[in-house]
Amino acid sequence: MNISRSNYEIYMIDFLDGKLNQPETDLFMQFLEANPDLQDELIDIRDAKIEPSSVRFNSKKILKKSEILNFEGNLFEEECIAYIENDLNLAQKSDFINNIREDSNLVTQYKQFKQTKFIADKNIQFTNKNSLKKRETTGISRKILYMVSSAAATVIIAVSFLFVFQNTSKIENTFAEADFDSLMKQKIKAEQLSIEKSILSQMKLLKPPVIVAEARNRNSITVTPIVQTNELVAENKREIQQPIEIISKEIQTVKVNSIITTYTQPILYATNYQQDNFSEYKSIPNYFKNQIAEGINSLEFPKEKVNLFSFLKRGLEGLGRLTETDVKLDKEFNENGDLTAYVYTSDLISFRREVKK
Amino acid sequence: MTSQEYNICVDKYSDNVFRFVLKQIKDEDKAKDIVQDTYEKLWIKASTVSYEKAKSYLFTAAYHTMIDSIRKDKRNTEFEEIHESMFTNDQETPDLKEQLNEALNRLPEIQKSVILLRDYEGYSYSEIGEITNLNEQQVKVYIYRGRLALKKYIGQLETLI
Repeated sequence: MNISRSNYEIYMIDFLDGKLNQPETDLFMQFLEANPDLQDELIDIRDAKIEPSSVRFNSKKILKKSEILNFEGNLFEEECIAYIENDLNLAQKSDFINNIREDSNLVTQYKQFKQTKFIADKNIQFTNKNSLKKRETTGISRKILYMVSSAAATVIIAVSFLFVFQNTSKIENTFAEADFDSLMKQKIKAEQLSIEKSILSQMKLLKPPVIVAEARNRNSITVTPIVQTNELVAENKREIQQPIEIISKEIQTVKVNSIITTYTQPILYATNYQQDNFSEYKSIPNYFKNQIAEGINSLEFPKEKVNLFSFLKRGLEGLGRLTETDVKLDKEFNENGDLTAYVYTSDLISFRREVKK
Repeated sequence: MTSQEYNICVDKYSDNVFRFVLKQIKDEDKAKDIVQDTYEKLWIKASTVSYEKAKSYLFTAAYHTMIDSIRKDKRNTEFEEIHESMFTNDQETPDLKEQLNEALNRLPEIQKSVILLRDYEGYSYSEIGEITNLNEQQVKVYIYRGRLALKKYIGQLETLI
């Protein structure tokens, strides 16, 4: 080892760092004694040593990446967002605030993140709320309401059919009977009166009976005159007959005085009482009423058990007869006789509703 | 749900749904149509949706209806945006609200929706996930990405200023 003035700095720094062994140190000390001006330089270099600083880099999170989220931002940005989203607990929030407090750059970034929070503008309102609302029902579900309404409507229709046409048929029958009877009786009476009148008038025209002969019965006191009169002939000889009982089922189409009714089944109360221009028929409403009454009478309604289902069934059948459509409401039973379903059939629609157990 | 409860939902939530949709659709008439359709869907399902779940159902239905509408109009929207950007003066200095709206419009639809559901209605990540058919983690990521994008846009504007 040869220390000279051209390479002494290296040995000087190694000496200050403590890297020289003992023989090298002794040799270096001998060199310094031979060159006293370099001893001051050694002292200066020794005193120029810098102590390590205590300053810390607090923004490491800016450099770090998220370990949990697949998030492109750094750890600081994630913490900012987590703080805003309230995803941090109290301790974490406290640490966060302490970490950014001393760094204005971090505070600025946090404020920018805070500004990304949207606030709803209450002035924006949907103005046409009434167009969205529906009519309220009073606590009863729509389903039940529909069922009850349908049943009530059917019952009302069925009962109205029964009531109206039953009464109507009674009234109509009464009217028919009264009408026919009274009319016929009136007519017969009138005819009788006219005949009597004509007879009387005829009789008035006749000469008083002439006693042609006296039948004398010598032995009798009374004398029986033999009266010869002309044959009494009424002007209009009528064959008076008793009015026959009219049976509605025996109504037939009858041609009366060349007047043909326009109904397919004209209703005429025909008699063998010949009367000019006398005929009786019913109007169109009466025709329909008669048809329905006839239909209802054929159903044997009073004999069946009366319940809601029977009301519905008869009401629908009556409606079907009136509209000349096929409408039926029936029940289906299984092998054990248990009710399984209700079946509704019509010309337009058919459906089957199973009975829930 | 009874019809009375349904009508209560109209009063309580129609404004919220309208705001949520309008913020993204930007067309008042279309937003009203979407609100109408949404409530009609709720009415049809009234027998199966409970009153407590009505709000969630409304936002779910509104979100999906809105997305369908957006995708249907997407071609026209992109065309307009391209042409509008040609005339935008980047040196303008709008206020913060306009900055945010502008930034929001630049976000993808899903990020826009989840951020608005979070900020406007205060839904949790799981609730937003139910509405948008995402899991909780996906919702969180979309919100974080959206906020980052919004912050960067605001930061860029402030730097220019």
